[in-house]
Amino acid sequence: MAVIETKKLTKYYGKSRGIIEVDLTVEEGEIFGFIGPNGAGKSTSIRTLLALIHPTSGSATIFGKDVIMHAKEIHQEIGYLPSEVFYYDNMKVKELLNYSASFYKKDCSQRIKELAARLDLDLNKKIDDLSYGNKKKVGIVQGLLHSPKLILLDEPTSGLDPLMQNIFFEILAEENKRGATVLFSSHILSEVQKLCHRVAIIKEGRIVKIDSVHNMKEEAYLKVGFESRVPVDITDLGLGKLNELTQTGNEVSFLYKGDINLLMRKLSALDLVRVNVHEAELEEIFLHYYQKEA
Amino acid sequence: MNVFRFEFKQTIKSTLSWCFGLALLIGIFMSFFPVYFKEIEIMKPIFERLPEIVLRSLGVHIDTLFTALGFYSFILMYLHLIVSIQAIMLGLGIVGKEVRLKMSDFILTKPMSRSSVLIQKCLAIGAHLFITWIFVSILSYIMLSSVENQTLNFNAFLILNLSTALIQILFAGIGVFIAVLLRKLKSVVGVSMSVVFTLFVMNLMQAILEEPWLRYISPFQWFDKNYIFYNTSYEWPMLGMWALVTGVSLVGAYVIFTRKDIHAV
Repeated sequence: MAVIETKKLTKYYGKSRGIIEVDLTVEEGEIFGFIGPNGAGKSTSIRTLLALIHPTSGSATIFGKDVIMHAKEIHQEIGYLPSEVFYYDNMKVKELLNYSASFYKKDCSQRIKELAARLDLDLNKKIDDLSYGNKKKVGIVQGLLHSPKLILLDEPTSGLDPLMQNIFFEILAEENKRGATVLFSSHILSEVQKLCHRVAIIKEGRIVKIDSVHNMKEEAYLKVGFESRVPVDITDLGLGKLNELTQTGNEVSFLYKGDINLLMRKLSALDLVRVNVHEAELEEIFLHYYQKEA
Repeated sequence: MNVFRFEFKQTIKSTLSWCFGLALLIGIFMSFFPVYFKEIEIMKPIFERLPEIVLRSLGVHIDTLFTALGFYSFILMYLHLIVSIQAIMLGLGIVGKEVRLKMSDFILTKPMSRSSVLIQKCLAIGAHLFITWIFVSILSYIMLSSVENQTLNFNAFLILNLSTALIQILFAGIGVFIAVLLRKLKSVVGVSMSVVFTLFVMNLMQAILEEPWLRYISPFQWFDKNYIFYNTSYEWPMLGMWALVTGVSLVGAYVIFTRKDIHAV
């Protein structure tokens, strides 16, 4: 069953573009990554799903219900963590979390304690006295305390140290095992690669590609870099169309997809100083989606 | 009603401080009255010699000043100024709280409709206003009946005092309306003070210039104490202005709040 479904979802802020005709389906139990550079429309998409902003045209449903019309019911089962967290003045962590829990129709006190213990968060401290990372932890607990069926995360890892990031990902993986669907936006591909099943890439407001992380890696690009003693005309090599080709002086790098033996034969014919061939990270594969077309 | 409870609890201390301040104002002013009433023969000529314009801008009416209720209606001008500041700060502070703290995402992604968030917040504002008003009313009544030499005209007192509640509701409404319009709110005090003092200066200007049309846009003039004192009634056109501005503020706030886009901060 599709947990999230958007049809030609479009948002303009006056004349400026938010998102254009976004079609997205996130199935139950998935961890879905949403990738794009800043300003591509990730937040706009998530905020529309949360009914924080109203679409200009198109529609979106969560659990089969319209996100604007049934916002209240939908929110009962949604956990949301924004990229930046802010809280009321002069409150203890415990008080804030209890207030947050008071909106849901269930007893969340046990889950609050569990999550706080996992994240090493002191519930009796004043929020004002917490470091940024610790405030972020309050946000995580706040988003997960009601064991939501759908977790929406908008660039959630900023401000978390790597150790906490791991714990956070572990918790997300557990929530997912429990049955929660996760939609996760990020501009850092490696963290998406680590966690997500499928990925959508958004660029300038439009979805340019949706595929499984597995398939994307299957595309098996090789990242090739070398330095030669004499300048090389790379088009003369006969390796076909190369992505991400950069050449500065005698240093060349590109993404290669095709027969590896051919690549090796061609490279061995050159007078090389140094060579480096490795499986490309998603980041490198999709860099070209990021760059604006000339 | 969790939002109501939360907002009520968060602001109750501040409301009690306002009550304390208002008690001081009423207490100090009213305790002048017996002394000054005793010296009426000396005081009255002094006031009569003051230029008309000074009296008007101070809100003094010599005919009524030497009765306790008349004196009270003079204090009321300053009482209204203070409660209006409190009311606009409540409206702006409670409804604009999430805007000021960049927490709109927090409250609006909870399973509660926007209208119910707004209504509960407005009820909390109302509760604080009511506490303040009841406190002021009771205290004023006690003070007045202890200094009044004749029997206190209870109806006149009631209607004078009700104008305080109307001023509270009006300014709270304006505060709520401004709160839903803003995308950023740095200082509740700053915005509140500028609105109230602009309107208060308009009130003084009106007192000096006596332009009749200026009265319609100067809320502190809508409840003319002297008129109320003599007629035991409000001026209908001014009451109409009150209803119009309060209604437009609250309905407008509702319409805007339930439909507006909440942008990332």
